[in-house]
Amino acid sequence: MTPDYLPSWWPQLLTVLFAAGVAHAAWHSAGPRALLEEAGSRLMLLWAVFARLHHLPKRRNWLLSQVRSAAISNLYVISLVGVFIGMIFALQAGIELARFGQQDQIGPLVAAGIAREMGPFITALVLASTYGSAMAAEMGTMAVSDELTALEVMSIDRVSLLVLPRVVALAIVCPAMTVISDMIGIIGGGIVASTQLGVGWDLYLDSAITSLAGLGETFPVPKDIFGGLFKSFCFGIAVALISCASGISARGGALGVGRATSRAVRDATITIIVANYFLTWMIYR
Amino acid sequence: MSASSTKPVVRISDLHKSFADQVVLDGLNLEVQAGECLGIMGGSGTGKSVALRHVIGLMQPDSGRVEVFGREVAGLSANELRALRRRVGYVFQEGALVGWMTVEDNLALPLRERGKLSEPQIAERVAEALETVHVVGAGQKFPSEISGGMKKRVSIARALITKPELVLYDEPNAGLDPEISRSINALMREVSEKLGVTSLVVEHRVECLRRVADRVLFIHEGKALVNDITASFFQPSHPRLMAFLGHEQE
Repeated sequence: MTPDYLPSWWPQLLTVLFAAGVAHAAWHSAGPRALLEEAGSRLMLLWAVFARLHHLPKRRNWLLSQVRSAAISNLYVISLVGVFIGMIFALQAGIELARFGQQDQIGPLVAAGIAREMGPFITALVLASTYGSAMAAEMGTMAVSDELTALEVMSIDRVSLLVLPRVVALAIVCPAMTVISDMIGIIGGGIVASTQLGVGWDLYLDSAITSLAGLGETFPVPKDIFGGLFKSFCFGIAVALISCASGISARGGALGVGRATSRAVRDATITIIVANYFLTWMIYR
Repeated sequence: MSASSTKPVVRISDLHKSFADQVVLDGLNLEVQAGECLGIMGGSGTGKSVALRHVIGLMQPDSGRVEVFGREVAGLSANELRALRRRVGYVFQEGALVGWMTVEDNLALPLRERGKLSEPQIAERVAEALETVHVVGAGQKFPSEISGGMKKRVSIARALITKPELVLYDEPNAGLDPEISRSINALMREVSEKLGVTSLVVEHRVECLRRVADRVLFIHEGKALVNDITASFFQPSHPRLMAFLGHEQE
């Protein structure tokens, strides 16, 4: 709700100021030329990946192997984080709702909050810090040990061989893990609701599921669920792309691999946060 | 092996290359004839590997020409460069095998990517290549599970599996003990004689070049200082080469 003393366009102004602040900080920390070059090379890589989507049938084995390792190695982390996020969210919101005797509303609140926001966001952050960093380190090691040069010399398309399966794998795994994180988060919220807020399981689950079933206006699908999954899909692509690009550009031995890995996690985190705002604005405004 | 008098496979003319203020190549000239094995010798940082990287188009010259198979490398389009690289094998200093693939997959990779052979044909070529480099029974191992000497052999096998016309070796003896170095040198010579491929070997170990090269070129301060057939090269008269090889001046 916009206060009367502020113009109606103040959220947009805030967005522009925020984006300008991020750009200003990045410009001064990395230098304008390096920043533009890095942004340009990542956009070129994204384009190169899209242009090679028809190579996917040839890369199905690598794709399956990436999907398997990304999903399996992160399932327990995402489950653990998901259940506690749901519990924290339910506890924080429930305490406030209880002050007004509205704790029955905890189901829809937790469900919407997790499906729209926390599920995709936390899943992407976990994947960026675990799988994304591993991906950057792997590509970085390949770069500093001449493996990428060897592929180039053999005229092997490294975007098709290395980047495409990883980007597509995270575009699949991130939404899939978000579904799991959402479900577990909602269950976590239910544990708090039933044990600490005195809301029955049936009421909690019924109200949560009913609230998530609401259809969108543009697309007749449950908006909260599919909005969150769309965000997750974008985050997955961003994490894989940034990690691969950072790894490929690694130079200078083990130190260079370390720098590339930390750059990948830092940039992926910033991208997830900034993109989350704009995607939320696009989907839910 | 005798050098033919036809058009050279590799011709480098007046090649200059600098990195920031450091001049690495300062007017390098060399030619490699078809079927010949040319060794390039020189101290560390004299631009031997840089010259090799120009031949395969990994670096662009500041000035001068690098011609391979009669085409100037710097003027090639991306597709033409890919086509040229398919005719060339490159053996990296550390092997540069893909760490997450088995030895067999590493060898099969360039063949699979070209998509011209069926899987049984690829398997046959891989087995043949492993036999050529005397690495049988390690096909299912990963590069981290085999020794440095075996990695180098597999790397040579990978460079040869596509039947290239030119093979570039970047310090093939680097990091190997004398016994394994001897076996790698024998393998390079065997490959060169058996398959008749043109070779360019960058190395600073005397034993390696004495064993494998038909001719040796000595680079000093970015220029070709001495270029002679192997037997004469190692009986030098040039004072700088004598100093490099540890020969006492009379």
